Amino acid sequence: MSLTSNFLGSQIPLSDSPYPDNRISFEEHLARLDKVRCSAKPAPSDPAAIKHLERGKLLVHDRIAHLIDPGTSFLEVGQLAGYEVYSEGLRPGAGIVTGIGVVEGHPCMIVANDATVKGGTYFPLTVKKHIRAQQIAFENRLPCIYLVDSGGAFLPLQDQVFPDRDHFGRLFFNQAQMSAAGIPQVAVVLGSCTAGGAYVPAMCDEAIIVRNQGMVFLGGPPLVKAATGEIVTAEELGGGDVHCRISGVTDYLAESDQEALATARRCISSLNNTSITRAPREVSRPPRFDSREINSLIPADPKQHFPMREIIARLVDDSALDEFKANYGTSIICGFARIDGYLVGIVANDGILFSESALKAAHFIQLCDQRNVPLVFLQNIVGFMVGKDYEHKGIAKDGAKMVTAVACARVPKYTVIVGNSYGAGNYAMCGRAYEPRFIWSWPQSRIGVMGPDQAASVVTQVRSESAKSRGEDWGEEQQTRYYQEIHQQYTTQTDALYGSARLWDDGVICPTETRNALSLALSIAPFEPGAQRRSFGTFRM
Amino acid sequence: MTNSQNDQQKPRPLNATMNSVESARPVVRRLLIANRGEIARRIIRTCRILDIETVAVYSDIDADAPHVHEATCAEPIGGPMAYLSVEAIVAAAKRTGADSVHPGYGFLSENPALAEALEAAGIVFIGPNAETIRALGSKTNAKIIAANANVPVAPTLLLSGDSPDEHLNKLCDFTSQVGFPVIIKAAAGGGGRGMRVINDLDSAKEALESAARESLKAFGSAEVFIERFIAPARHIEVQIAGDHYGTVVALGTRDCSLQRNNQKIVEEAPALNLKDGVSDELCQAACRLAKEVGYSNLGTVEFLYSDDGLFYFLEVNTRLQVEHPVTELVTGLDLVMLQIEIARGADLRDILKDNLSLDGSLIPSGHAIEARLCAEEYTGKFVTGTGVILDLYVPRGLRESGLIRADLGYEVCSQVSHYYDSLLGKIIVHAPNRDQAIQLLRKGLSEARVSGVGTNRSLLLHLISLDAFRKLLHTVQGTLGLLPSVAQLHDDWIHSHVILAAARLLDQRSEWAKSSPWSDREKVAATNITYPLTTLIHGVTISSESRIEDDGVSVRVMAPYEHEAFVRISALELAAVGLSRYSISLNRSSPKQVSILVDGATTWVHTDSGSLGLRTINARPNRKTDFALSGELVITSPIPGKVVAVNFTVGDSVQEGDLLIVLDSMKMEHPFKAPRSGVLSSINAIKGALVNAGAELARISSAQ
Repeated sequence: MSLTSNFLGSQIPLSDSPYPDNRISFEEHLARLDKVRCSAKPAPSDPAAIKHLERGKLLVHDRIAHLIDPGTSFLEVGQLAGYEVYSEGLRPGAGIVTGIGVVEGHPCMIVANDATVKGGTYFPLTVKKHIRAQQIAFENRLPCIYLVDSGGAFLPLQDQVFPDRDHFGRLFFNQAQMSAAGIPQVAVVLGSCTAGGAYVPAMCDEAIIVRNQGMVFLGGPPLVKAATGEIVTAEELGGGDVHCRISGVTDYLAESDQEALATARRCISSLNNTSITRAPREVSRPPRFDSREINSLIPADPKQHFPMREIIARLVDDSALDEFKANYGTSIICGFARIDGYLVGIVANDGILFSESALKAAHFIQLCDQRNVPLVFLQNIVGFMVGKDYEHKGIAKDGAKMVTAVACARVPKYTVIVGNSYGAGNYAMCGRAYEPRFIWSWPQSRIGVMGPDQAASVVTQVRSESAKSRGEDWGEEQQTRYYQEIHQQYTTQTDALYGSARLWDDGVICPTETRNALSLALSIAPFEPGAQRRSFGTFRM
Repeated sequence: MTNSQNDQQKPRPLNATMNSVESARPVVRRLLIANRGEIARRIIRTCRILDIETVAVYSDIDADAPHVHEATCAEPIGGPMAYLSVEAIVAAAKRTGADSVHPGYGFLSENPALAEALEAAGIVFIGPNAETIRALGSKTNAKIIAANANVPVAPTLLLSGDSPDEHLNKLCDFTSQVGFPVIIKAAAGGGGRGMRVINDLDSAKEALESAARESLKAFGSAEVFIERFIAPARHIEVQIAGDHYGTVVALGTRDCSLQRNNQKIVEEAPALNLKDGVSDELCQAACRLAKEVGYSNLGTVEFLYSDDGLFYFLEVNTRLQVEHPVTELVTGLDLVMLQIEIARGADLRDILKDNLSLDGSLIPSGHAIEARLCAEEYTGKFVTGTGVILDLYVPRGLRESGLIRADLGYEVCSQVSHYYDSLLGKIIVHAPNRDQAIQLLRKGLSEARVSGVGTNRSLLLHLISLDAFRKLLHTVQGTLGLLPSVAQLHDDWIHSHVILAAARLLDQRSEWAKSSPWSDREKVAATNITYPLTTLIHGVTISSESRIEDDGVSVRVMAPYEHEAFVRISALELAAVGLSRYSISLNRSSPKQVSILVDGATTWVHTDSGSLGLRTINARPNRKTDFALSGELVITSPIPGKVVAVNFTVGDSVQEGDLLIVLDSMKMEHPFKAPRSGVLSSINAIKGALVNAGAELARISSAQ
């Protein structure tokens, strides 16, 4: 990496127009993100939080701070889940905090209910987030620590949280599967843990419970009274003492949140999983250009192109990229670089996808897979080239080759949506469906089947033709209004925060946070150079 | 010294003297040391120079003590208190073929029975003869001897053989002559026990009775005497040496005024700031007293000196003192060597001819100070520490360059037991003048550290840094007023807490975490997490939240100790196994080095102002000790059985691990040990009784 030939220079005069305006526009996106993030934590005046603290319980973020090793990071996943989704007005996070933290030197997945949000009950996105956290844990072989404080499924929405494959039952299926695969499962019961929720500690390898706080039962006192007439207090029915002394549902009795979390740390300290090798790391070098300059590089108008090499130069170590096939299929950039000391293969859009770009990317993805080099996709793609010439030349089959390569590559994949993520370009560039280990979006990015302008034109045109064929009178004014409606719908739905609220990604991050997030994610992936490579699907030639 | 003239005319080489009369003199070739700890090691050191074989004796719990390993051979003598058994020591000396015994200090050193028993066995006792020890051992008798030798004695009222009513009447007469206050002392006493200060007649009766009771309990004799209470006063003492030929010399003065409860803390030589000529007068008085009893070997004559320039005889210690090194450093003499040579029959005039001036006096060179490093922590009261020493360090550079001397009784892994004196060792410095010596001692103490047991290092540093100490304004009675306030102690504890809170953010728990980006400070700063820490220090709980910032750590200590600190910290190196060193700058002050040693739930933080063991509660809970430190602890039986032993009664203080009760069940004995120290507040178990499973056996409440 010390050769200067691979050093990405920068040609941008950042003080000239339009860059200062870009920055102002981008900073509005950052400010909005910051505001939404801040609203994820309860305000000091929040009645639920006050009640929670009065019970001697710690707030969910403080629980995590007590659990993780002092002086280590916490990589939150799905922070914006549920933001402006439900009429019940959930705070961003959907009543659960999930993320990766280091406990006693082991990276662990922490899944923590937030009882100050609707009693920690599971909304559809709460379930989705919980399952997403388990998937990350499974893929990266991370021990799971569940900080349970939840009233179970949110009953008014039972049809959206209970019956389907990826609904509530999946939580326990995943626990069993992970435990079987040797991935430790530890529960800390810090509050109620009712009905289906009772299986979280019961399905764990080890469970800790707090006296007079933690409650585990299939049916609570009201249900018991209704069913059998028996009158019993919650503590008698399923308190810590009951479960540690009589039932054996939990293993360790703690007197406080703090003690319970310290006990969970002790459980993790007895793991003997040093056999998991994680990726080697070289000395990290900062990029030669400040990543804050990215704020000025991104045009205010999402339709405008921005130079991807300038972005890469602000993300990778020493701004150095060993570029592969630099002069071929130039609308995609492929090459080896390091991110915070970790070797990666970068696949980044620098324009629309053509046949050559797709073939080049498919080749490079196979190369990384062979060498066991993780892939990082930087998405800024509106789609594959269209038109008679391109269809005749078989752009569909070349695109399919890239999609096949992305789908079958066995190395860890990471995706950052830095600009647009539209149509089949999203697939070829490792969108959510292609199981990247992590996928993040920048706050101004857009995701959808197509952009608002294009969608509004296409849909209006189709509607107009349909009207014409039926002989309806569909005037200019109606057409314009219809166009605007569709445009507005697409503008709303392609917004990064809209997508992140629905867990289409693992979070919205700022350009300046991107190196850190990628580095933390790369560091936890098990490194399996000897593992057998998966064969690729048929490449249509 | 009146015979110095002869020496000048007819110099005799020491070796020649020794050889010519060797057959007639006692041989010291195999010396048994009837002691332990630093003094045993100190004596071994001199014996090595003299090519004398040494026999260490050790109790069961000292089997692995450093002095055992350093002696030529070692001999077990029994239980922990065997060092006090004349029979055990004499038997050990006979078994090992020792031709001589050095008693050290404490234990049997001033017990005439040992000297007598050894004499009877034909073994040399390194010290004065039994007669001298006995004569000077009684304080009242020593006072009479002193008065006979024309040594100033405080007005004294002896009370032997009278009835209590007469005591009171005599006291009335006495105080009408000398006034108040007066002090009651035990005739057989020492170490402050049995002492009572009386300020008026009203309290006299009660004080007399309780002093007698305490004296009877501690020393086996109810005899007390009364003298005028000299206060404020300094404790000045004279090191004397006498040989078998009637020569007595004074080897200079020492100032031991820094005391707590009559226990010396810091001693120095020579005593400075005395009125003109007093130093010589003290030495002459000490020599007169020694000649009066025909004193041979080393001893110390103690005086109280009041600021009007008068001094009063206190007592004679017929042994080597703890603080002898300060005299060694300013005289260049090896006092243990001197003791052995005197016992061998050497003539002091020969031995000291190079050290004494023409008029027979001894000019000290520079100034020496000794600080006693004890397993005793000052937390508002004095708390004795016991346990295993995990780390013991006295600055190597200063030691190797000879600037400080460290006489230590313990090494890493040594067990500090509550059976023995809390003295861990002594740090002694020697410099051209007193200010320089204080400076050097501060340096030595500020870089020293002991982990595993609490020590008085902080207190020593506090005391020697005081202006009153530097200006020699401190007195025996005034030391208590110099102790740090509770607020100062809390400040120190918060300071250590803050350092720990910052340092633990740098200490990662696995190799992977150390090299992974998870501990990169810049990333952690970006995540904006506040890490909680709660520590327990001497029953005080301190909680804080710390946050990594761009260029340091901010620590916020919660109420009631509200405090905010900004700490710049960087790890330096691993100084020893488990011990990390850091460079720390608090609130942008200049950086200092601190060391931290983690031992399970206890973390030892060593700064330049002291050492502290902090129990980190939130990091590693141990319910038995952390969460049951206050309130009552109930001990119940998990099984049915029969009580076969009850070893304590209600009100007894128990130490953690003490065997309280033994139960017999299912043909097995089930011991119940105290899970923590405290006072037994109730015992339900009765020997012979049957108990059910779940029955309460005893309760322990917090010790006050």
